[in-house]
Amino acid sequence: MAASYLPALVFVIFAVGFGALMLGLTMVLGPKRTSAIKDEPFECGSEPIGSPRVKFSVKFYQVAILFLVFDIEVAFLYPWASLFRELSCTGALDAAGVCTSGASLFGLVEMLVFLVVLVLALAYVWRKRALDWA
Amino acid sequence: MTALLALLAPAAAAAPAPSSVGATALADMGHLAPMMIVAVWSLLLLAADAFAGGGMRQFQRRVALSGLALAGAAALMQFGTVEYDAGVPVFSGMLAVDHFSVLLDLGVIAVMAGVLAFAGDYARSHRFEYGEQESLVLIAGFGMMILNHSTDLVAVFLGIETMSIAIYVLVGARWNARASAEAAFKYFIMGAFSSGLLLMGIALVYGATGTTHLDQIAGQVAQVFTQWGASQPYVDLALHPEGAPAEAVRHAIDKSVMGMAPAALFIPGLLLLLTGLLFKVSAVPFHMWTPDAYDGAPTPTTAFMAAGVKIGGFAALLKVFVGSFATQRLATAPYGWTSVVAVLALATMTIGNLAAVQQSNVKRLLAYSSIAHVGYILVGVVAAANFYGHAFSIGTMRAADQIEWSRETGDFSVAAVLFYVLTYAIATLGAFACVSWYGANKTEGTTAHEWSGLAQRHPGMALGLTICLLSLMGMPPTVGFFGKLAIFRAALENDNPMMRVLVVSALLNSVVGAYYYLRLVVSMYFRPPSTTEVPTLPGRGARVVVGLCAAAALLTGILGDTAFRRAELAAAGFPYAAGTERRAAWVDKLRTRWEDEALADEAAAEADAKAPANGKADAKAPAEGKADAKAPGEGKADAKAPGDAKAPGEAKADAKAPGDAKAPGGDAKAPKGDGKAEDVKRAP
Repeated sequence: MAASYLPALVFVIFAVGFGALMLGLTMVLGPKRTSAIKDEPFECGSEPIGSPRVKFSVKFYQVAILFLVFDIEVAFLYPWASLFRELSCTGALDAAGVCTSGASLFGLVEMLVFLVVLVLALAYVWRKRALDWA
Repeated sequence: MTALLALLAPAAAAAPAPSSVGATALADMGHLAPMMIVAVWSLLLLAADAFAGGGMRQFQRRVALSGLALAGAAALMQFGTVEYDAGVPVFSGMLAVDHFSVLLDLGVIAVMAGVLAFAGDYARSHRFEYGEQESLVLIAGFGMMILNHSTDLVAVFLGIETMSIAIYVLVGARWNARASAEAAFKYFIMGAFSSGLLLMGIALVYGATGTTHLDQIAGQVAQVFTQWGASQPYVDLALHPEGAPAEAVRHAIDKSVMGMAPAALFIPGLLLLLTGLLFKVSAVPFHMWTPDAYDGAPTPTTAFMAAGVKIGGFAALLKVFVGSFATQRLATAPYGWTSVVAVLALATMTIGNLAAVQQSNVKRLLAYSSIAHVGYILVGVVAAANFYGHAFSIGTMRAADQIEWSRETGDFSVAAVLFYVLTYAIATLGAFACVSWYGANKTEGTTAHEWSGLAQRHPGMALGLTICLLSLMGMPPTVGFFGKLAIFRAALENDNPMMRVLVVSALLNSVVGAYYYLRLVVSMYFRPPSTTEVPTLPGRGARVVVGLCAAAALLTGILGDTAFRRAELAAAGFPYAAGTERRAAWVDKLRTRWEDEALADEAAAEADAKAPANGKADAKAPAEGKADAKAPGEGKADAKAPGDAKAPGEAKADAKAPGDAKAPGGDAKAPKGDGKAEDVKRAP
């Protein structure tokens, strides 16, 4: 069992060794001719203007956080949707995936509770003008 | 409780199939009524703030307090009822409702109510009033309550994050003070980092055990180390393969890697979990954020952090470490994790106290004092883990009654920790409430010289603060003394030099603590008032809270026995999974013992009433009988006698009658016979 990991180990050693070798070779063999233009930061060929360290508005952070909340919401909805059949059945599904024991509102209500909490948060965010850019 | 449940879950009562998922979920919510109320109220308050636009803040405060009253009432209805003796696992085993969690819930709810009583006044007076305060406090409290109920590492993480994120905001809420933003930033960076460590630890423990459920982990831990032990012959062969056939060596390598892998994942996971949780309770060496965060935060938030977060943090620490990781090889000294925690406890109390001595800022002083208290509480955690470690050891050769004793003393240690945490929360809440009250209109009286002569100007508040400080110091008859006593008793039950060192250093540390607490008291009472008069907070919230906390510290101290019984009930059967027969059996045992004691007390009282002199002589007789029974033991047994004499019954008797605590051996136990038989049995 442990021996079956040996190829992985060989691969790791090879990958690290090859990378180190190549970098080392360019350092040793490669000619070094520096000039002012070559020392400039590479910016897809266009001339860099000003320092890259500008202050970003904290609003971006806010938008990112708000995005995250609703992103997670969708991430939650997927597994819920795929399980909805099971969650809406009072008993277990039979082999064919058909609910024979009767319908249950649990799956729906559960997600509604979650969505109501999120909608409340959205209402809060909206009322607090966090969605306005200005 | 059933009435409330029916109210909250009408559909559950009416559902045709009571076992359906929906009905179960509703019933679970009924069991978690206090938590659900807090959650719903926090959302309502958030919505109210968004739509009311600041016009009804006073009203919001009242709504928040009434919600907490409702939650508190629900928790009170749950606590101590037989229904929750065994504990009820809810939400597919993520959480559980038992006396342990409900007692801590009550503590959290009380702290939230206490903080909200003056947080609004404070924010308005210091000109940073904002409408989310109540909601944020409730959300953080909700997180603490998740921690109290958690029976799964995922729930622990969720609780910690819910609690922490709300508190980061509360710390930074004072937008007109630079220190507040700095404190929030430091706390956030460090807190997020420690949450990462915690999550990493959870992942590793999951990798080693294949489960995140705490009770299942407790079962798997034994498996992990049995596997480790079983692989040792293969390890030997793999390391010294001389002369063995190649096929056998390859097999041995496989076996040893597979055998050791779970343990190799588990130990780092355990250490990462320990780091994450110790950070949250601010133990050395993860305490560096504490003074800055406590000092920079608005003082009501500081009170909330010092009282509430400690409750939630220690609930998690107890659940994870004492509940799940207390298996002999893993927990007990000298090679178990308790050794690490013991050293950290020692460092925590010493560094906390020594740093507190140097503080001239009252807020920082209390921050360091809260670090020192964490050290004392950790001593109790170590004691509990040691006992359970001995009780739940693998392949033990120990006698059944000895295991029983370890179990019972472990429960006592957990009770001591609970009692200490809750009583510390009361006292520290009172102290920080007083600091919040002293200052208004953007000036805060936090430097020590501003407090001199406070007793002349505000005698009531000086008295209240003094009682709270005395309780933190551990002065009888305040409850702080009984908390310390219970912790030290629990620690000394261990026949273990490490624990003795810990207790001695905790005692010395208490003396150091007395110096800085008393220095403040002395300057309040015996120094002339400072020339600049510090304005005080308008509104009576802070004053009421200080008064209530001081009264509670005194009352629970005087009624230490009754108060401690609540903690004992909460801790009974702690290491057994919620909802199991064994948990119920231990709670039942405790109840039976109380009944027996009550009967014995009644009988003794009657005997006293009939013939005072005779009655006393009678009561003493069995004690002598017991001393005789111990005398014929062999040399070895004699040497051990002082340790053995601490029978389970007696430990509790001592906690109840602290005057007797130092009395040797049998005295305190005289009227009861149950512990005696075990003593004699264990002696050889």
